[in-house]
Formats: sequence, C-alpha cells, structure tokens
Amino acid sequence: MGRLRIFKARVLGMFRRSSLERDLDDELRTHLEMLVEENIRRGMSPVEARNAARRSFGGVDQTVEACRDQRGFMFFDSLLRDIRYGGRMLRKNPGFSAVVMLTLALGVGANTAIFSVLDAVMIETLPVHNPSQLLMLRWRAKGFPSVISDLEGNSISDPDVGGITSESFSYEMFQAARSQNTVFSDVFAFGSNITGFNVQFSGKAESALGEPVSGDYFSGLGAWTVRGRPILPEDDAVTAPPVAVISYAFWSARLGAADSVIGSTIVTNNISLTIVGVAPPEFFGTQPGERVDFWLPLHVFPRLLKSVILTGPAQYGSDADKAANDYWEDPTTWWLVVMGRMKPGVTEQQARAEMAVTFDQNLKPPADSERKEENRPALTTAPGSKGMDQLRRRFSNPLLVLMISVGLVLLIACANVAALLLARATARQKEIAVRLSLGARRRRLIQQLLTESVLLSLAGAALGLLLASWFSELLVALVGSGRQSIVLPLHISWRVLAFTAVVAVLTGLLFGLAPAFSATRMSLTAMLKEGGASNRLIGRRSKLAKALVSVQVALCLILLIGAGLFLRTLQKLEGIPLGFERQNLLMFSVAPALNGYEGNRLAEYYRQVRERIETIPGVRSVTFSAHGPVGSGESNSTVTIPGVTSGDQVVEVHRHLVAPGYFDTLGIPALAGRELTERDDAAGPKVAVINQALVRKAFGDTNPLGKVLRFGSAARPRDFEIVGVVGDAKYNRLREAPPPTAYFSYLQALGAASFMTFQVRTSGDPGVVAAALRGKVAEVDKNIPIDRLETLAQAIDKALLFERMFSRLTGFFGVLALVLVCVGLYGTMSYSVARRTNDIGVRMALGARPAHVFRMVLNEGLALTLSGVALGLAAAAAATRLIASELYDVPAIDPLTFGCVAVLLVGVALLACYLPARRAMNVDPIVALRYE
Amino acid sequence: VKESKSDILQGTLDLMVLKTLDGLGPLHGYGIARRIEQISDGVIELNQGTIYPALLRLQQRGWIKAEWGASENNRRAKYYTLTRSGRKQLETETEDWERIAAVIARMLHSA
Repeated sequence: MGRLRIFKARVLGMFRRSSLERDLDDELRTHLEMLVEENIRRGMSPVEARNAARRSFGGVDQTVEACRDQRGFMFFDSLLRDIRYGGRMLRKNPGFSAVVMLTLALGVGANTAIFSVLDAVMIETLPVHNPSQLLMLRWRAKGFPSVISDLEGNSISDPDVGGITSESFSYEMFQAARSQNTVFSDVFAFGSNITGFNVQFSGKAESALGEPVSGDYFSGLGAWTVRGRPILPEDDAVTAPPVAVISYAFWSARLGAADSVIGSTIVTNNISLTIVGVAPPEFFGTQPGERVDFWLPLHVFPRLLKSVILTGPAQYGSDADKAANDYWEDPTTWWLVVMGRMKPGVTEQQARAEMAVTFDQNLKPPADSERKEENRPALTTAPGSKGMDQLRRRFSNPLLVLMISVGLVLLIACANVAALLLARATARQKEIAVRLSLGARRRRLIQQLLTESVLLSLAGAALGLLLASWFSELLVALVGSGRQSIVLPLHISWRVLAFTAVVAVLTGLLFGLAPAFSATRMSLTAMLKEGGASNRLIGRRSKLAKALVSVQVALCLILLIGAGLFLRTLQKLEGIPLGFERQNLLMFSVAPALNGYEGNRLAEYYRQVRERIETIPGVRSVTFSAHGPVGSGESNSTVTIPGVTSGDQVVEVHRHLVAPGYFDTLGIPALAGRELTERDDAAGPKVAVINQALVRKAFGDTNPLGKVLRFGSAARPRDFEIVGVVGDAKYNRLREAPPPTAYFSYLQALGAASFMTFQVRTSGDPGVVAAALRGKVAEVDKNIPIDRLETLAQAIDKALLFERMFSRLTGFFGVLALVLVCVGLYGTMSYSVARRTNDIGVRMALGARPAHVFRMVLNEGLALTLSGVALGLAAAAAATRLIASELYDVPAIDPLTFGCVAVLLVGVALLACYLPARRAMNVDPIVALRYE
Repeated sequence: VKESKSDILQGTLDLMVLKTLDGLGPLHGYGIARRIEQISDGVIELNQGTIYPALLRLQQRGWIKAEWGASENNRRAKYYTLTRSGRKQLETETEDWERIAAVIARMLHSA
C-alpha cells in the first residue's frame, strides 16, 4: 500500500497540487487558531491553550495525509478495489467466465486480425525516414494524352475528372522535375512496372522481379542496407558497371543469407549485375504488396530489356535497340514514377503549384506531328508517405466489408454475453441487495459491475490478440491469392494494440451497461418485503433480453444476406461461359527473349517446343499465344476500318497474337471465313481474324470479310485484312464480357513476341502430360525456365481464389452469427419458460392442452424472430448497396438471396425454440404449483 | 463483503456533518466540529482533524460546497453549505439510519 501511495501522490503532484495544499494549510491553521483562542478564553495560558488545541485536533500531518488520499485517489482506489473484487467474482464462476471470455476472444480476435490487415494496407506508412515529407507526382487528363505514345504502369479512369490519371512520367520530365524545383530536397524515380527477369546465379536459372530505380532512390527515401551499400548516383550512368541491391527475402530464401554474396554476380540476359547490398527486412520498396527481388539503376534497366519489348501491331517497325533507347530519349515514353522529398516547411500545395509550372513548360508536343494535341495532361500530386496506392484501391472495399462483418459478429456476441449477464443479475440479486442495504450507492455498484464486465472483455481480448496473429496471416494469404502473391509486412503495431484495447473496453461497457443498470434497479423496501426480486423486475429484464434477441436476429440476417450475395457471385463467376473449352487444357509460359533469343531464333524456339510437346503421348493439339486465355495480361489499340468507320472515328480492339491451331485447340468456334495458318507468315499478306463482338460493334450488317483493320497513321498505315470470324471468348478478365478482339498470326509480328503462353489440349488427365512436359521443353534449351505450369481449370480457380475465399470468410462469419443467435434465442426462451413454469402450470390446470402451450411458446419465439427479420431485411436492403461493386451478375437486392436467408433464419429460429417449447408442454401442473 | 469499523464510523460522521449544516446553515470546519461535540455531549470524542477528509469527501460527492469567507473575528475561513442533492441525501440517509437502528433495536431486545 505504501508504494502505491507514493505513486498516487506523484500522479497527483502533476496537477494543481500546491494550490490545493496551501488552501488546506490555511484552513487547518485557522481551525487551530480558533481552538487556541477558545481555550484562552476559557482561561488557559497560551502554551497550555496551544497544547490542548493540538490534542483535541489530533495529528495535523495525519489530517493532511488523509485529505490528500481523499482528494486524488478516490477514483483509483475504488477502481483497484473493484478490479480485485471483480477478479474474485470471475474466479468464483470459472465456467461462466470461460464461456464469456472465449466468445469475446473469437469476436475480438477476428476484429483485431482484420484491423491489422486493414492497418497494413490502408494506414501504415513506408518504413523510411520521415515518410510524411514524401510527395508523389501524378497527372490527370480528359482522355489518353496525345503527347504519350507508350504509357507504362497503371492508368486509372478517374471519375472525378471524367478522364484518366496516372503516375508515370518520361525520363526527360523526371530530369526537369529534379533540376527545376526549389521545393524538394531530393527528387528520385523508379520504374512504374516491376519487371520479371530470368536470372542465373550459382548455376541455377530462375525468374526474379527487378525494379529500376534512380541513383538517389535510396538516399532520397532515407533507406539504407543491412549488408553492403545501396545504389548510389554514380551507379546510375550508361558507362557505370551494372550493380544491384537485393531484397532481404531474396537474400535469405534464394542466396542462403550468405555474407559472401556481396561482390558476387547475378546474370540476366548476358549482363552480369554485381550485388552491392542487401536491403533491410522491412523494406519492400515503394509499391506496397508488390514483391521486388532486386533493385537496379535506371540506366542499366534498358540494356537488360533490349529484347524484352511487348510485340504486337502497335510496336511494328520498331526494333529492340530503338525500344531500349526510347526509355531515355523518347519524351513520349512515360515509364517512371517520380517522388520528391519536400524541404522542411514546404506544403503540398506549394510543391504542387511549382511542379505544375515545371511540368507544363516541359511538356513536348505530340511526336507524330500530324496528330493535333489533345487531352493535355495537368499535374497533380499525392502524398507519398504510403507509397503507390494500387493495393489500397484494390482491397480497401473488400477489407471494409470484412471489417463491418466481424464488427457485426462481435455485436451479436456482445448481445449474447449481455443476455448471460442479465440472467446472472437475477442470481446475484441477493448480493446486490445486501450491498445496497449496507449503504452502497447505485452508481458505485454500477461502476463495480461495469468493472467486472470490462475485466471480462479485456481478458477475452488478450486471448483474442493471440488468435489474431494467427488469423491475420491467414487473411494475408487470402488477400494475396490470385495471380501473384502479395507481400505485406504484418506486425502488431501500436495502432492495432490501441484498436484492440478500445474494442475490448467498448464491448465490455456495451454488454455490461444494460445488465448493470437492470441489476441495481430495485427498491430496498420491496426487497425486504418480498425477500427476493419482484416479478415485475424480472419481467422487465426478460423484455430487455428479448429485445436483444430481435436485434441479434436482424444483425445476423444482414450478415447472412451479404454472405449469400457473395456466394451467388462466386457461383455466377464459376459457371460463366468462357467461349472455349475448360476441360483438359494445360498451360505454361516461357520467356526466351530474357535469355537473348531474338527474331528468327525466337520463332524457331517456339516451333521446336511445340514439336517436342506434340510427341508426348496423350497430347491432342498444341498452340501458343502472347497472352494466355485468362488472367495473363492484355494489349489493346485503336484502329480505323476504311469503308466502315468514318473520319476521325476509331474502334478499340483487344489484340491476341496467336499461333496456328489456336481456335481449334481452345475450342473457339469458327463462324465465317478461315482460320490463321502457317502460311500467314512474314512473307504473306497481313491478315486478322476477329470475334463476333467486334463484328457487332463495328460492322453491323456489313460483311467484315475482306475489310481491313488499319493501325498506325494515315501516312504510314499498317493494314490487316479480315479473313475470318470466330465466336466470342473471354479476354483476360473473367468478370468482363468478351471485348471486341482481333487475332493476329505470331509470324506476322516483326519483332517476334518475347514471351509466349503455350496451351496443350490433352485427351486424358493433363497431370500425366504435365509430368513429361518439363523435360521435353528443357530439351530445347535447359536455361529457359517454365513459368506458371497449370491447367486452365487451375488458372480459373486461381483467378477466382479471392472471390472464393471472400465468400467463404463472409459465409463463415454468417454461420458463426447464426450459431450465436441460436444460442441466444434458445437461452432466452428457456429462461422465459422456466420463469413462467408456475403460470403454465395454472393454465394447464385450468384445461389448456399441451399442444396449445407448445404453440404459445413457439409463437413467442417466432414473434421475436419475425420482428428481427423485418428489421434486418430493411437494414440489409440499405446496406447491400454498399457492396454492389463487389458483386457479379447479382442485384444488390436479390429477391432469391433475401428470401432464402429469411426462410433459413426463421427455420433455424423455430428449431432453437423447439426444445423450450417441448419443455413447456411437458410441465406437470401439480409439480409446477407445488414448486411455488 | 468486509466492511471495516472505520467505514461505518465514516458514514456516521458524514451524516452528522450533513445534519449540522442542515440545522445551522453555512459553517466552517471548526464550527462543525464544535457543534458535533456539543450535541454528542461528550459521548463522541472527536479528533477534530478527522472532519476534514469527511468534508472533502462530501464535497466530491456534490453534497456540500465550500467558499472562502470572513469569520466572526475577521479571520479568513472556509465556509461549507449544504447543496440540494446533499439535502436529499440527508433525507434518505436519515430514513435508512432510523430503519436500521429500529431493526437493530428490535433485534437486541427480542432475543
């Protein structure tokens, strides 16, 4: 106690202590003086009078001390007492405490887990020096700007301006931003696409992801290395020896965390990169969620890329060297994200205003002088503290939906715990009555009871925190499912801890408040008269419990409807017609250009691989295409169609670069004209096959055969004659209808495609063929790794993994809610029956039949459920509009889902009421009456 | 529940302070202590200092309020006044006290 008192005194000492103490001193001195005066008046000598005064006053110091205690610590003191008392009460009822704590642990754990992911995705800043000073440049335009010929990275249609916005800039613009500004202390840049490379190190060939960064990237971010040194400005020059900094994960997982890697080399595309440093474990670059295996200087990047250029009609006529140089010299190639660190005191507005001027002055007119300038972009900025925001944009909605779902589950759990506490309040009636009669005030008792419930919820939350770390890893696996994995640094940050603590205290108050008020609402005289809680009181309490059940039913209904809608979405997506055959199709991709293959050697490589695969038993046919049929990227351009489109009118066409036999192998029906064949090679006339969607969009009733798709400008047209029409097939995205598509022969692409996805149709189990396939492909060139070997079914599964897991998670929460509601309903009805045993006995004695009693109880439960369902349906109708964007081909207010869920809930609720109703029916009137 | 002896005495002292202020109006600590001693007629031997924690407690509960003023001899003294909720509290506590006292009296005499 002594130590505690010192602590308290110190706490108090921080506040107005001196003035209060002086006040008290004055008061006590006055008191003593008055006493002395009185004593003198009675005839004592001054010395005697003073001694007598001291005696009758008692110890001055003790009084001061007692006042000090009284002043500051009443709250703490009683809180400590309450905590000790609450702890004792909880230990006395271990079963009750355990049930409540487990329920809350699940609820709080799920909430904490989702919040920690939400925190990492949406709130966490980059692990670099002073991230709030970072500013990212960005531009907006009404449409695709004519000053850009090649735009890399994401461009997002921006509803605010009705146009597009992007973060990619040309190298020239980056240089201008660096040299012509007064607002930044550093300006640095990195490639907007993280690029896959085939790398060789210590005799292995693997694919790895590289990000080009400017020489001042690391110093600008204020990021250092744990081994070696970062990339420095002198590394970022055409003449400098090529270097790389590798990520911590790459270093430990693939290079064995050996210190000797510093100074060793990794080889990609015949260029040796010397590893100079290892980034710290928490540093993932500037694109949250994206994996980067190594960083390399901007000026080395195009040399590695030399032959890695997307090939297709849009790039016809350009060769590899030119493409590489374009990264430097061509002001219309926009490929860099530019970030600046603002000088201290500079605001985002000031920086934006200055950069907008610089941007505008350095904007070059369109490269193609025939085209008039349109959609001139304007500069804006975005805070760079969290890095690029693709991850936030993609997952913030689903994460919020999950957050709300678990929040609702926790609310339902709270209602259950509240009902439990209400029932217990009746059991503790006696204890509370005694305390009230001994003079405890109601507020103190409520404080005491609330302390107990908060204690419970804190204990539950502590347990939940343990669950959360396990649960959130599961969640990241879910968020990261799909095409590529997502690297998300998860840790229990102070924000997560604060969130959990706040949630715990709030839930404790939430479920404790009503029971605490209800438990202490009693009149002492009534207690003394009746010797127990009045029936009226218990009646009020059970009314409260019933209201809680109705609310639970409503919340549960909302959750189940949400889960139902996601399930229906998944079903629709799984059953979606692809336009080609799903079964027995094996796919894999290769990128031989990364190993230096070019031109004819590339085409030869593809042909050889195809021939080798055809020799595997069980293979029906083999083909390949630049983009796989689903989930592996897309290319599109605009064309004119002489004789069909007029004037400036252009048609947007999605491009597929395919090998002969593509339609046959995939099972896309040919509808008119012919397919592409081996004869459609570089020497033959340029041809294209189009799909029905393109026919519908551009041709209407006109016969498309013989017409021409014209790429390029009027001065340098590149024409492709339409020789055939095929059925519609999905292009890249499952959720989107097949877009207008044109198929071209890979032999007619001047720079042969640097990567290909092979499709192998098998007659039996694709697994058998897959086993033999790697060896056959390695026979052609063992240095070229096979990537993403999977069946089409697997690829579609993967593409839908997010939807599936999301639907499973919301379904799980829905079922959890349903179970909780059942338990709540069962408990409340059982309690109601037990309380009215006497009443039921009287009814039966007066001639009520058991069936009648059974119905009465069931009807009561049904009324509770129906009122909850009505409330829930109304709330759900309002709530589901918020998730409409996550649905596919299912209306937000889907009558089928709403109906099924309501029926399910009522059915389950009736089941939960069945047992209590049976018990009521079997009440023996004699026993019931005697019991009273 | 363990209720120590001092707790009960404390409650009693609170009641006496409230009653004193109710009867005599605004009064300083010395006056209150003297009054309680007078009324108890020497039965209660009060350490006058113990009245101050009690006064503080009653203030914290909002039952009395304090104000600096001048005493009879023109000394600066703190005067305490009963608040409205203090008056109500006095009523309920008086009732409770009388009831419990009656019960205890019955108990002691019946056995």
